[in-house]
Amino acid sequence: MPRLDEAIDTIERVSLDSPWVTIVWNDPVNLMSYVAWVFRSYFGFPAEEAERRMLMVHNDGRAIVASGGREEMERHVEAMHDFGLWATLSRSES
Amino acid sequence: MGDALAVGIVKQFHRRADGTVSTSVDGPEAGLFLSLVDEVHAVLEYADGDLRPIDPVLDRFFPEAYPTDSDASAEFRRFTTPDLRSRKTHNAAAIAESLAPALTADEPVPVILDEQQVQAWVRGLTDMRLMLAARVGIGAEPDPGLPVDAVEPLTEVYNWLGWVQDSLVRALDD
Repeated sequence: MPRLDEAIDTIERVSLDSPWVTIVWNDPVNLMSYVAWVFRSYFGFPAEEAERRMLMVHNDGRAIVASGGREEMERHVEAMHDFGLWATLSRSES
Repeated sequence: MGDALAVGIVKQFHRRADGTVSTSVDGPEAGLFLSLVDEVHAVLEYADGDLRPIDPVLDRFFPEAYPTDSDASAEFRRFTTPDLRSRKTHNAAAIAESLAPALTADEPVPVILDEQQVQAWVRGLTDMRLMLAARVGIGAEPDPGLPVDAVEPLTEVYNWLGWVQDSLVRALDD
């Protein structure tokens, strides 16, 4: 049985490593051309990839556009809000 | 997502050889833009990072970042709203500034946007559309404070802005 402090260490490490995701949600306002442009210009996706994720937002209601540490995802979400996109972050489910 | 419906005057942006983007704007159009800039600024006056926004427009300008954690969302808003607010204020002001020469013109005058102005315009146009959408109830109920006969003209302005933005984004791809 691991000592308690070791167990806490493990929990902290897991929660630090556990990735977060930035999700962009569909909204009735933003144009498809604009959302694809944001994905290209901000995330640097190639045109086809930006188009694919934009269509995921459009057809499935949402798309994951980035994953990584929590702070980094918060920066992405803030940037999306700056562009007027509806974005959230949450723990990765995978 | 929204559709860019062509309503009213068709506005076209073009990428120029030096990388700037140009269009032409007449006095009434510039006046319309300026009133939207004023409206965005008025809405942003009431943005306060410590308060859950009471205006549906503010809800859309500063959405919940954590869908299942209202405390984390409030914290996120507290940290990000001041900066986002000042950038949104600046973007709207930049649109007004680039239209100043057109305001008093009888004929359409050229408006040329450099990279920084383009960045302000695409975001500022989005904010104007988000604001109008919340007012007229695109994808939701109209703002109960909005007079019924204001819905149609504001919806036309909203659609027109969609066309303007679509044209601008397409010009950026050229």
